[in-house]
Amino acid sequence: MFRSLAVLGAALATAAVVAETASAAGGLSVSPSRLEATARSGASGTVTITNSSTRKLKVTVRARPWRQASSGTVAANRSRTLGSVRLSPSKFTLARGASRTVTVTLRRVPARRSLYGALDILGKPVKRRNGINVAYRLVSSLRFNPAAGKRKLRLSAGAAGSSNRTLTVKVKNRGNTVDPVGGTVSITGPGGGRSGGIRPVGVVPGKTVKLKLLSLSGMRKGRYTAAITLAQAGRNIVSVTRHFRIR
Amino acid sequence: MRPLVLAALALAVIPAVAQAQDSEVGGNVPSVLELALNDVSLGRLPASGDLTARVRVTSTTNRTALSAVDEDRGRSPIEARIGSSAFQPLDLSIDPLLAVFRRPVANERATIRLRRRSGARVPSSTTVLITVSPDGP
Repeated sequence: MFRSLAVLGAALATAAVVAETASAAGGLSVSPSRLEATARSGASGTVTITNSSTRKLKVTVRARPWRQASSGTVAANRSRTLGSVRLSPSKFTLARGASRTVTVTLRRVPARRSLYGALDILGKPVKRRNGINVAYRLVSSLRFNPAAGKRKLRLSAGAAGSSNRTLTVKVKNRGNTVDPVGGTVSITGPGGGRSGGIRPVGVVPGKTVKLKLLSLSGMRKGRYTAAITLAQAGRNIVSVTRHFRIR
Repeated sequence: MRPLVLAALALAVIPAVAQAQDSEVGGNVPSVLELALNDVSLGRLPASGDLTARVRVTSTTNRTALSAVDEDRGRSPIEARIGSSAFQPLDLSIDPLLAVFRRPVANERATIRLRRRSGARVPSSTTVLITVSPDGP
């Protein structure tokens, strides 16, 4: 009797370990998660894609431009690809436990002297069933930075506004880097003053984001003036004054 | 019986030895982004009610976004959410953010709920791309 119970206990313990191991099985991964190189014709780098899941996966890799929301959030633009980036290979099948190295090459340097985009990696199980299927999608960052002498830090500030009791200003990145845009702001007006630092946000060259400057909570109604200094890569790039009203 | 007692004693001593040799251990690892899916076939979407996709995310970066998009780029009949946040359609121009991890994470679990959009017809077979990405360029 005792022996039977011991055997049953051991079997249950083994089953629990097997279940834990199965649930802890890996998935699809990419390393490095950010590929950086200097933008030169023929510049290249590699990423390694590993399938540590328990399934065979069909993998597709695409280089895509970023879309950027006014909040600063980015997403790979699935309707476009970056023609100046060559991927080799871009389609392959990965057995479980297998890895593959993908070479990313910049064919030609864009006029802007830099290129920022996304590596859109899709891993789909070989067998597809009826109903809702889910698949793996990894988006890693691709940065072909301008050469030292070609770096251009240029920002322009648009209108200021407030949303959800937060002062914002539209900022366009007219340069060619993705160095985060931060800075300082100082507000003066009938309700007194307030100042602080701006939380840095990476802005894709050519894109515009609404940079959050300061909370306006607790400030009285009236017309205020904001002195804004925008900085990038440790340098003050532009200083502007904007007027706004709290209603 | 005696070997068992000896083994237990040995196990009890090991942590004490480890504490006594207190030293810092460090190292560098390459940056990595990993997504694990518990199941890839969720079955048919019920007329009312939802399906759940259990995922785990590993990322060495400080800000990682978890989102979901419909593989087909037209209007999606499906919407998704995590926790008690509002359901978001899967066909937005910027992938709908379901969660943002503001620190490096290892095997961070998340449960994504999928449901049919009101009045939408779901094709017999649909693929939802569970996406992990950096939060900035």
